[in-house]
Amino acid sequence: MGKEYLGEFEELVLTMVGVLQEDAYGAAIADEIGTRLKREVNLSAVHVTLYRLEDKGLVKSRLGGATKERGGRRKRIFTITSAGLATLKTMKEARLDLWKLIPQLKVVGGH
Amino acid sequence: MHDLEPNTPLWPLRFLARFCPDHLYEEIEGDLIQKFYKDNTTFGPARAKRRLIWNSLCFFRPGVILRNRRFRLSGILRTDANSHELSFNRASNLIGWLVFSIALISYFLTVEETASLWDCSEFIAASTKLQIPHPPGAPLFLLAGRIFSLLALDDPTRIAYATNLLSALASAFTILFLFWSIVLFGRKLTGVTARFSVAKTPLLLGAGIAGALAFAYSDSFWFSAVEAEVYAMSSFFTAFVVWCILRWDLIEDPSRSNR
Repeated sequence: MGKEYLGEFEELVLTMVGVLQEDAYGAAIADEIGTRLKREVNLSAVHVTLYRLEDKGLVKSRLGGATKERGGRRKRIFTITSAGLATLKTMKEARLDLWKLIPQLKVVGGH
Repeated sequence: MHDLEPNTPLWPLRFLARFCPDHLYEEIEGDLIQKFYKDNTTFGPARAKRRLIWNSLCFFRPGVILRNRRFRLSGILRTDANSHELSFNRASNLIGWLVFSIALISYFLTVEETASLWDCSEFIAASTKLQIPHPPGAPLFLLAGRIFSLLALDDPTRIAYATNLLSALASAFTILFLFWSIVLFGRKLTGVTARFSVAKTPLLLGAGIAGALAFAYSDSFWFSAVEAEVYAMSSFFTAFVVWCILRWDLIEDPSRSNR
């Protein structure tokens, strides 16, 4: 199997699914990105990314309960899979390895 | 549209319902409504309404539209995890035949009406009468040329045109096998074999289209595609053999590889 690569936004959404756990659905993820990163993202971009991540087997989904604040419509709750966690971990380690090679980011006396 | 606050604009949601896949509609509509209510308290009704319209329109994108059942059933975009390979093959076949049609129409429209004044004239005459041209003889080409010359029926002035069609058809098939070969090469280069990635499908098919059509309209190939020369048929067999090699190479099950 070929190695799957994630785009920056895919990685961000996948991370948010991991962060929000049982409350990870389209609107909540878009809100969380806005609150934590001060970055406005479009709802459709989040949804399409979630579907793509599901195609790749990195998240799975199920329909949750209906609430009044959504006009009685049900949410689709996404949860991160083991493959998704492994992908995030691999990406983080790869980044850290590269960061260590940037001289300006090295702290004197640090590692 | 029950359970909605009175100031909720309904037409963006109705527009969404026209193209959004049934199995995704409820959750998307719910998210849009939730965001609208939140915007209503944050920005006020007028801006919230504008944002709902914009957010709804933004869902009109391939990533949503192509998930409709009719697209999924056509096999162009089947997104369930186990059918990537199958859907990719279908898309590859469909686009391959599309590229073939483009090439065939181009060659049929530009095929030479009569005999070119070099080997072609000799090949046309030799294939029509089933005689022997200059070495090495090209017997298969002559036999195929004879069949095509029969398309001229009783009009001997159309024999050259009919025989030239053989090259046009062989060249279009060359383009078809070239497209498939490029796609298979791409799969080999990207290392994707057992489980196909949806993300790479447009990339590989796009590369195939660009490569095949660039070759189809290249000067030398187009030139030999519209006259009765052996090069078109020779290219066809070369392309076919290369495609066979690549097909064989991508078979993962050893029990099938020797068939």
